[in-house]
Amino acid sequence: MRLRSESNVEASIERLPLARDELPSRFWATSVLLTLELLSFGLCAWQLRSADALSSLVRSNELGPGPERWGGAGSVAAIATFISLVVALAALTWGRKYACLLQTFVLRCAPLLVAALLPPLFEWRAWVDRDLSHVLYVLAVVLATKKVFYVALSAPAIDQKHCPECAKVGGHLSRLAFEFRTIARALPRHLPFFIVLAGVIGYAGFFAYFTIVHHRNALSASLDMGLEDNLVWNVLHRGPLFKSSPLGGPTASHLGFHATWFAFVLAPLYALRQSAETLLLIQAMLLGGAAIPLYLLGRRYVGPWQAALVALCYLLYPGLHGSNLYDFHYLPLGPFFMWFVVYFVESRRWVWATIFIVLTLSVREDVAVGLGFLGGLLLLAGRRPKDGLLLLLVGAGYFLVMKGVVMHKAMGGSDAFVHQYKLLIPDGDSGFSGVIKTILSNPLYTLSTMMERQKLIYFMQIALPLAFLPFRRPIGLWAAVPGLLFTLLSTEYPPLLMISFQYTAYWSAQLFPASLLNLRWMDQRVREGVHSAAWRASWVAALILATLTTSYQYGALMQHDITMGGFGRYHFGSDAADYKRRADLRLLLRQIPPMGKVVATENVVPQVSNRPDAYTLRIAVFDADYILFRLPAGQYEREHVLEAIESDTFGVVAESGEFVLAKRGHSTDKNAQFISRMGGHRYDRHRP
Amino acid sequence: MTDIDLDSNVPGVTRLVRAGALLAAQGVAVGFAINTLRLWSRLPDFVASNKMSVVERGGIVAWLILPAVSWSMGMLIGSALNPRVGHRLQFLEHWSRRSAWVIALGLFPVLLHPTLWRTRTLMFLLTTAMVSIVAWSAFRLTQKAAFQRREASGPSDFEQLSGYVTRLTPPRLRLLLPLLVIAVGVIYIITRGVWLDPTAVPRLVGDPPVGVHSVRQAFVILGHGGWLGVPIVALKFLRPPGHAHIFFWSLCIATAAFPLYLWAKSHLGSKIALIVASCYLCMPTLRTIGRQEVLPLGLAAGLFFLAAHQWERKRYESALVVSLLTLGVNEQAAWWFCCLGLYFATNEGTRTAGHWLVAGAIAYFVLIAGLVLPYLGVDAYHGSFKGLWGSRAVGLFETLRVAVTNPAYVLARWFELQGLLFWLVLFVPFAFLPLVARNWLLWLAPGVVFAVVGVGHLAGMPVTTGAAAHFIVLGFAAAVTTLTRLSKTAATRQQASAAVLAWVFAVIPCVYQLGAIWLPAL
Repeated sequence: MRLRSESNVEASIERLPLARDELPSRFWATSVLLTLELLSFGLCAWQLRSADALSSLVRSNELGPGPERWGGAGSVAAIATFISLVVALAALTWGRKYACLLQTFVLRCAPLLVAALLPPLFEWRAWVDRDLSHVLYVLAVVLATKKVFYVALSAPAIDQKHCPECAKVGGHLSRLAFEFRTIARALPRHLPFFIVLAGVIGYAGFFAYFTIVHHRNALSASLDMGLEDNLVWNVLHRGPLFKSSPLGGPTASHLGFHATWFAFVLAPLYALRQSAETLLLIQAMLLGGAAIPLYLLGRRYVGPWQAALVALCYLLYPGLHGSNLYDFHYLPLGPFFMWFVVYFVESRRWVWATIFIVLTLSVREDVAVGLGFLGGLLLLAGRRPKDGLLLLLVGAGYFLVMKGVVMHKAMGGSDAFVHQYKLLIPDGDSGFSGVIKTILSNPLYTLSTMMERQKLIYFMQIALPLAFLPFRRPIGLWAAVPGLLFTLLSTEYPPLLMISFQYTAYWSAQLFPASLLNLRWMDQRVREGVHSAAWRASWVAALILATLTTSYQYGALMQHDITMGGFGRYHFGSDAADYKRRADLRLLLRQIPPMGKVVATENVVPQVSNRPDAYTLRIAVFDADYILFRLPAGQYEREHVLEAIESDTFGVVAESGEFVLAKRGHSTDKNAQFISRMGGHRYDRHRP
Repeated sequence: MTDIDLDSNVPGVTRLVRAGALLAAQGVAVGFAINTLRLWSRLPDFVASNKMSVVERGGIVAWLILPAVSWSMGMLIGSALNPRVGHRLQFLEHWSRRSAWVIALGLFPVLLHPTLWRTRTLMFLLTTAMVSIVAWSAFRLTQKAAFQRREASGPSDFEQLSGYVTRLTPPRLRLLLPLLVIAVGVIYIITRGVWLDPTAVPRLVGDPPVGVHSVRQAFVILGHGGWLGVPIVALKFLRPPGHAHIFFWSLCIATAAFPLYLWAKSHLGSKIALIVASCYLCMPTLRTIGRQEVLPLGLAAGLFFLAAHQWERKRYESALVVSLLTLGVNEQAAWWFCCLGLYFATNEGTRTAGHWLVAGAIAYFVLIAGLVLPYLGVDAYHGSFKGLWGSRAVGLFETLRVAVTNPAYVLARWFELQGLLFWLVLFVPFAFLPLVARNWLLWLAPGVVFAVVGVGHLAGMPVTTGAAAHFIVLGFAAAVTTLTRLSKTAATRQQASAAVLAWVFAVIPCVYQLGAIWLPAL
């Protein structure tokens, strides 16, 4: 169902009157439109001038002290109305022949109608804790933008027959347009690619820098920075398969949770500098680098400039920023390889396609699902359907074997992460088979679990940056299935419904190629004459605005005040406290031998995880030789530290700032001081 | 049967997969319907708790998969056995689309469960919305497949079906039958309205307005510029209070179906017009609009439809009289004429009338709301909005000033207060048809504006407010104009009939679950 029939709107606009006998209606329409445009433009200027009060203006309709400031808006409205009436009246009274020129001009300026709505979108304070209102407001503005751009771009040409002056103006404009096209043709053929490349380099540099700084400030966490770092370190040093000691002790394996064979690919690079920072650098490069295969794919579908635009939209995508800021994960690395697979399949480079299929499958078992769905997308869109079917079968097969057999066995016969769907598991069942049974047998119950405010907000945050372009055709529904299955169907597990986690990759991997396919479909419709070029251009305008506004509010590139990474607001850069913390920690880290077994506070684990055994104090002390903890300690960490120190198994070695280092078998002289500081009861406990 | 390739540019594998998926969806829909009927009595518990034995759950899943597989396989075999080699894929594709309506039919029974949705209004509306959209797409697909295999000027499935029904009717009754059907509906609603609890009517209406000695006092009681109600109040017509008021209210609301039928008939023919009028009578939101007011805006609906019909037929004298009577019910009806005028202004032949209508409507509203009501001391646009917009705006015009000068605040606040329920209650019974109108924003603008300025009213029970009347009346106007547009060409006529069928699919569950015709009002 098409909720808005663009072709009919187009038909109505192309019938716009230009004959003299329809002058009165043109007068009314032109005057009203001109008034609204001037009013909107004036209000926009007034809001920009009152930028300091814009937040309170939008939140509470207050401008702060000085009621005279309100006069500005009223004056703007009055002046706009007056000017427009004068202009329209003058044009129609003394210069009827200019009426068509005025009408065309007013229609071409239609985008000004939304100008008054734009400044609040670039004032983040106005929308703090009002996510639903914000996304709905953005949606309204984006829809309005699409409409006004459509009106502007499909405005009728100037009626040159009745007015030589208008013909002169029209001639000037035509010459300008011609010169613009000539310049555009003269630009280097690879300019769009270089723009994308610059964007990728900028993105990678930005995120690599800030994530590494964040990590150095001891703000990364054992889950998941520490455990992934430890896993790669053990892979490089031929430890047990997928050993990740921060996950659960010296024998813990990550295989039951995720099959990340890609760690073997990362290991040679990791060998150059064996630190979590290497992983963060690689992550930033691959996440940003995914714009390149997206561009290459898009170039085949829609030409270089639109492809570059979609690639840049990807780099600005707030869901991408959130997943990049939250430590290191394999899942967001998937699109880079998946999109290369599709590109190589499209360009029939089978060797490269095979290599990248293997790499994609190695990233993580659920990335294979994404690959399968991308194959399905090609199949349903009629783009190399046989190859798409093959990808679908390969992806689904790999996932079923890996998840259903290998990982199931590694977990001792149970499924990992099934708790994320706990309300969908029926009585007498366990594991994902139960979830699937509920979805199939009780769809209304499943629907009832999806009816949450946060799920609506999350979906809007995912789809809105793309102006819902992927959903313009039914293939969008197919592209949404992985995201639906892995995120929206979850119950009582908030991270899956936050764009500051890595799970947004389930969506972005599908939605961006679907957007390209839909843009290609639009091109076809334009070529077939079903729609005008203005229709497609209005979608592009909506896409640009949606990306910019959502990226500003939820992304990391345009403001750093409310950007989320993981559970909380992300701390960008370093301040004096960060530098001191770093120095304090460094002092203690020097005292731990490179291969020493360390148990540490959750946020300190990633600093010591590049060794065989590094544990998190949140779980237990295990067989650690060193305890490196931070004060004040959390509940579980405090209990474990006190237990170790009170029993004199460990002796406090040194204290540096908020960090304390203890060593197994070390002198316990300093223990009492720390026990009392931490509220322990050593001496009471030993008393009869 | 001509051999038109359905989509020759798309690769065969894709077409095969699409057709297979469509057939599987049809099978699943059938299975879903079977499961719904099998579990009918236990459905509310099952949906609430998801508790069921493993064996029974397996049975449900089997009943979903079995029809999907058997239906797909059956059609595949059927197409494989097609003797015309080279046309097998076309055959499969054609029949997969031709039978797409099965999907809509399979999803329908669950919406008519008597107890399942009792405590799940939002979920019911969401489900009905999805079903109506699916039904629309499915019917459109069905019609499209049929259209591609017959002459372009031939009748659609819907027209063929209605043709069979017409043939069953005696020729003399054919003209009168739609009116009789509507009359039965109207009488049913009026008689049912009489049985409504009169105590639900507030004291303002329940008690006769004792001491009404002047026109000014009558206007104060009316609360708006409804001069048509002045004699009603002055003559204390409302005694005995409750029943008389409800009878009058039901009569005015229900009889609006006749002019709506006449207006729709002039554009769409009697069959679709009858469906439109029936949908109007079934509209669940009608039962609440302004029932608690002395002379609610909703009572102007019938007069408005009649006026629109007269304006279109260029009977300007009668149109003017009826329009004035409409405005006499409530000055806010001026905005309906403003919308109608703008609609006329965009159409050939009615452009001049449209301009005059817009100018007259705006002038009337400004005159009544801006001058007459304040002069008479009627607090129609002042008290209700006090304090809703911070310390700046206190009345309608000041509120509008804020809306113009600070649109972001107004929109954001509105989004905060308006729930999804508000929009679903208004548009699901329409199957979203008004939103498909060419100038949908134009038709919705008055409702949106009054919902914005009266934002404080709507947080509780949205459909009881005056804004709902704007949405409903203009929603029907938008639906009629949309169907008119779609019915104009042979290529889009299939869309019109698909839209009408989807509307029926949406309105029946809505009136059953939310409306006052079959079940007591909520």
